[in-house]
Amino acid sequence: MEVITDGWTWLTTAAHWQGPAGIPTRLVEHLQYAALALLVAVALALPLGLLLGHTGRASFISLSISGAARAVPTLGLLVLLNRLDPVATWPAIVVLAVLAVPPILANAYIGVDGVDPAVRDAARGQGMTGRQVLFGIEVPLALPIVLAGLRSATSQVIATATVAAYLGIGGLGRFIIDGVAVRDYGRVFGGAVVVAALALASELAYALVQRAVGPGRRIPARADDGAPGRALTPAMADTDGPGDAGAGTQTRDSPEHATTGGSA
Amino acid sequence: MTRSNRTLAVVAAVPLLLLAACGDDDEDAATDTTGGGAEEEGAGEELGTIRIGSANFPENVLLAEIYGQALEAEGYTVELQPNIGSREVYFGEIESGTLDLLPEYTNSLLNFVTEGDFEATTTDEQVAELAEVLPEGLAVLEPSEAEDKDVLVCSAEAAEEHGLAALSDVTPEIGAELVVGGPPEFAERTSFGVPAFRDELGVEFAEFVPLEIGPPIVDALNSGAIDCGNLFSTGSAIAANDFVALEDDVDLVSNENIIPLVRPEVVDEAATEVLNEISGLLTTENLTEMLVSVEIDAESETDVATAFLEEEGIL
Repeated sequence: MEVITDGWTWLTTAAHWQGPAGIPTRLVEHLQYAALALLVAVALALPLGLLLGHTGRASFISLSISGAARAVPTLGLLVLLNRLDPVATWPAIVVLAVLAVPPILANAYIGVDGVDPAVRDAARGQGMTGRQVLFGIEVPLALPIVLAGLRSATSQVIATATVAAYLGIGGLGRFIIDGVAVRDYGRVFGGAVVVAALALASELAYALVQRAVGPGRRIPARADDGAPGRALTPAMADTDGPGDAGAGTQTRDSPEHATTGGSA
Repeated sequence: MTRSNRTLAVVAAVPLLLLAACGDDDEDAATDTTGGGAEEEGAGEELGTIRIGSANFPENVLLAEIYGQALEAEGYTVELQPNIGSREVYFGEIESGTLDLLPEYTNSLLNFVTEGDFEATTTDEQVAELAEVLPEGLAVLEPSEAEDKDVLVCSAEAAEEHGLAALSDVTPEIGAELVVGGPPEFAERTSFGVPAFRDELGVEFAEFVPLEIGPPIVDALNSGAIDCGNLFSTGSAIAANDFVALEDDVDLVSNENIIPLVRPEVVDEAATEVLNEISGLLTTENLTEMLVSVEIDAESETDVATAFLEEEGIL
């Protein structure tokens, strides 16, 4: 295929790696759009998802929001927002954030909501406050799922940030849109390769982080039961039960736990 | 069995419905145009059938309608095939003889036929060169002064601030203050684009913003995000938004005069006379006004063509 060799030639031409329209500049622009959009999405979706998962109420809210946001056509929204404020960057950030919200929101909710009720009850039984339960127990346990949501959001945003070029601004999409306009398909192919490589690199980075914090990770104990570094997994919590509760937290008894655990 | 039969029936019905829908349109268009002319106003003598095609954009459809209705008024039977597609497609049809007449553009047609290997820049040169290079059996008639070509358009504010009316007003000093929008190829093409402004006028724009020709450029001009942008000279948005189209007084852009491409075998002398008369009546301005009616006021090409021909006393 000629386009592949053209793409390779384009990628290996030194001039394309320099200047205000070079690959490094476009790459940085691309990452800026993606990072800003992810920041916005995380700021909105993560607290909401964790909170809804923690309260266990109004699950339809998180599911409806993420479902609705998934249905928003990215390019359509971009064209619409561009009409409000041509040649601005914020429409790109907004559409990419909309794209990133569903996986982050849904996974934060599911991750926290899916924590074994017995663990939650054990924590409460030890006298932990709601906030302590959320941040000391639920968030660490939900972390792998939350991270999976972030990972999915990140690769989607990186792959889609090419649409920013429609607005007349930068990013790696410039190579694709401009290349098509002047029928330089080597440039189109080369630009697409850079985008794909970037998305793969983000996947790899997340995979490493996920392995580091994966299930079975040792979490510093927050419930001061004298067992720092004890592995806190749903399985272990199940077998241990609430038996080793600390002093002064004996308000709940086992029948309650049995019931809650059974219903999960 | 029943189920697969039903599926088959549905699968078979969909294209039929689509065909039916298309057929309606064609019939409407046909009755519209035939109703307007032949029987009532025709000269009585038996004139031939002329098959007219058009590209798939409003201006070209409108031109085909104008040609068609004028020829019908003269007594010809007209078969209209609007919205055929790109030049690659419709040129093949007129070359193979399934079409007899198309509204064309001098530079684009020449560029297509010669695959970019041509010399002509002025309209006269283009017409002369077209006569030489067109395949046998095809010819162009008289060109109209109406042109649909690349033009640099500025917002009213920018034009006033910098005193812009023609390309020669874009001096290196003023150009350096202008933010210009255009399709991505504007940044690189040597004919009408950043390199042409740099090499031929010594102008280096403050910034170039790559935007699609059409609503993105129009919106950016209106918002002030760009000062000037690349549009087409008959674009309805120019008049609708009080933009200033800079006159090409430095011959930066090749002429794109509207010109009928015909098969002389079918388009006889009387028809040629009609088409030349139409070409004489068309101007970039009245074509632009008609496109405002089509694109902004959402009137049909058929109605706008009729109104134009009535106003000019042809219908």
